[in-house]
Amino acid sequence: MKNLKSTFIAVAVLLAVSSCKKDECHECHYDIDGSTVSIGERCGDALEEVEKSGYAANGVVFDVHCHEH
Amino acid sequence: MKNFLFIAFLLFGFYAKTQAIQGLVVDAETNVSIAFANVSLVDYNVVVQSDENGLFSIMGRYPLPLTIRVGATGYELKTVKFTNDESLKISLDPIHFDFDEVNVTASGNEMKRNNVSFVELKSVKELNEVPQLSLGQMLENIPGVYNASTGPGISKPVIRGLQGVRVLTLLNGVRMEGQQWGGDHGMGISELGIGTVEVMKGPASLLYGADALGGVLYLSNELYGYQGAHCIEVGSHFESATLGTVNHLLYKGATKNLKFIVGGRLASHADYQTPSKQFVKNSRFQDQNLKFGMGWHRGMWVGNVRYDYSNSTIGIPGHSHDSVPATADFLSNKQLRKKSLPVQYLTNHVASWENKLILNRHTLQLLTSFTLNQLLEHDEKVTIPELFLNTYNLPYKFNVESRLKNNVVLNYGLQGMYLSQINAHEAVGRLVPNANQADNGLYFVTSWTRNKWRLQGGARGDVRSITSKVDEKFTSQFSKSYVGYNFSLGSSYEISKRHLVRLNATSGFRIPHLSELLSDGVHHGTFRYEVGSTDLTTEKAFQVDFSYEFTGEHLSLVLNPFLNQIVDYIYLEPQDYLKGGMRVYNYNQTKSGVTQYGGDVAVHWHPHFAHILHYESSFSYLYMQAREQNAYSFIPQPRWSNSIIARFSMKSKVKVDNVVVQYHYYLPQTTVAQFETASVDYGVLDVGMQMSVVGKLPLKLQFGVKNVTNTTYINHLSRLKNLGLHSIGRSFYVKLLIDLKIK
Repeated sequence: MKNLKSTFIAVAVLLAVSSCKKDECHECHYDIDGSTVSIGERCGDALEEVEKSGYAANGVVFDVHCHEH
Repeated sequence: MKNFLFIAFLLFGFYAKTQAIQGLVVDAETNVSIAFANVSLVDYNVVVQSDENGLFSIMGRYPLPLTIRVGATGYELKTVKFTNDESLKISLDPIHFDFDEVNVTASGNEMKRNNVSFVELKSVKELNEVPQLSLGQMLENIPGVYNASTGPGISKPVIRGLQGVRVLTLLNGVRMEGQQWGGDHGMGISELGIGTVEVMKGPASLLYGADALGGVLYLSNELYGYQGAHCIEVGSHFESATLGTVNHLLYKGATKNLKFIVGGRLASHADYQTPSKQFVKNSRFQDQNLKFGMGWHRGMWVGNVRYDYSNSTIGIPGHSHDSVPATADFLSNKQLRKKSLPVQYLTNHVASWENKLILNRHTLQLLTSFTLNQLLEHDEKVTIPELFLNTYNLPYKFNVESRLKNNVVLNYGLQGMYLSQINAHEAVGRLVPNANQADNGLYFVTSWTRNKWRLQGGARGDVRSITSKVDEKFTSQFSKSYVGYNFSLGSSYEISKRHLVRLNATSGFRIPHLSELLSDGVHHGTFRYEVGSTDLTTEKAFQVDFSYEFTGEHLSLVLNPFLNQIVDYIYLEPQDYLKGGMRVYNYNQTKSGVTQYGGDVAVHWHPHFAHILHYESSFSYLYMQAREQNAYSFIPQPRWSNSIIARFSMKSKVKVDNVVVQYHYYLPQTTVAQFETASVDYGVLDVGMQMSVVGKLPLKLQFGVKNVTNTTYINHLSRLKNLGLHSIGRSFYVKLLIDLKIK
């Protein structure tokens, strides 16, 4: 029974640890004239902001994608 | 006060007359005791095992009379009535060979043979002779059942050619309401702790209400385990084609009055490998599952609380920004596991509370449940969801089973649900509006048994009310009520102990789903722009199903032809223009009916000259016809499945349990709709072996190869077919299982 208890505690700890939320990071880019321009990695709130508001370059705001295809 | 006394009398009035039930299980022919026979109290979910001397003892206080079911390997299952306090002696008839199949349905707690329509009943163990990646893939081992897939991570059951909203899935009696309407949304249920799968083919609205038009899939938990024992099962499964791992831990235990099942499962698969050694981009998926169940009994009160949780992260393959993509765009030389877009996060919570009161001639059952299905889909943005839909549901069922006479049983009750579908504000898109739905149905079913005849019939009335809410996208409100009346009438006749025939006529109905009524948007997973219609009426089906069963000493045979007529069939009509970059599909309804006919033939042969061998073969065929060209699509390919299993009973410490060879041959499908292409025939060969090690740490090891010949094929029901993406190539698997029993 002791072993049984230890197994359940270990599983509970494992699940709790693995469910912690971590900041996501992604390489982002925008497209212009058929070519892709990288704007580097964005994480957490910065990632959310750039996806929502876009990226300004030379007075133009571009729609940004932060995933590979 | 009077009411309180009445309830107290109901709860404790007929209190137990027996402290413990003791007995002996013996061979009917030789009178020799039978060791390790399973003895169960049918209504109480209590199971014990007889000891080396055939003796058993069931602890607890139970009201009499009791129904006891006894089974053992090599013997016929027997049900006996226990009416007094005396010790029991149960004699079992030996059978020449054991098919090792489950015989009792969990849906009706009844012998499979007693049903008036043929029910497919399989244990998950039977479906996993060659371990599969998902529950959907396992179901393909059942005659007449197929799997509509979008890669290995998304699979939906197809019964007699119908799928999605036309197939009802129940988990321990709880109706699963989620994303069954979307072609790209999976079942959200894993095989963790599932004991049996029952498939009722064709309309079954009498017992299950609206939407049970194509068939019903009834999944049931494993039994809690033997009274007074604890079982721990640890399993690990590896698949080479997806570099996939599936690990699970399951505990089952039962004390005198309490029973538990608790488990967890983690699965992780990278992109799958095709026969050409390339990988299908973004076909990866990850699953987390938890299961909890607790049962108890006190006198005539039996209760069960159950909770199931699943969380899946599923990549959607076949995504491209090119207007005319080539197949090569969807393939890669790298096998990746990391999350990529588009992706679905699918979360399911299924909680239920079942209460049963077992009176002398009546059994009252109340099942109340809560389910939450959450679909979060990211298509182009990592942090901004395209779709975020929460489906809350409160299904209920109140059933009374009354034994009017020894051979007449009446079941009647109420069944329904209150469903609410809410789009979360975080999502930029929405396919369907926020809406509420209420279902209520009233039914009765009566069965009459006399000599070799069994008759069963019943009727049911249902009302569904749907009310949608207005928002910035869906500007007009929708509110409508739909009514459905259904019946079923069937009969079985046991010509002899070996021959059984059944004839059953059933009706079914399906109310248009919210997505069919109110859709207006791009459905990325299905690559369509879907437009609903509020003019749609209910679909009605009428099926005649015949079955003949032969059970001989070395051979069992099932013939199961059927004819099904569906009127006002709802379908997607492709339009010749695009919207949002996708082809527009309008929901439409046939003016005439859709006719389905076909059937299944299954043979199980256990040759006398080679007792270790089992040969199983089945053939499934379906034909559909309608006046409208596009009314039906995705008709499954006719399938011929073959399995040869050699079962060994070695006495050594390390032993070979079985060797399995399976061959599934799919015939061509040329009956297709517009924008659908025909499919060619193909065959897939799988081989496997199971070994076990006996000792303090009992081990089971399964290993083998799937698609041994590395055949290149695309199933007709694969959503990746139009993209030219082949199914999984050769794959090696290893599965290790530790099954500990502690007394």
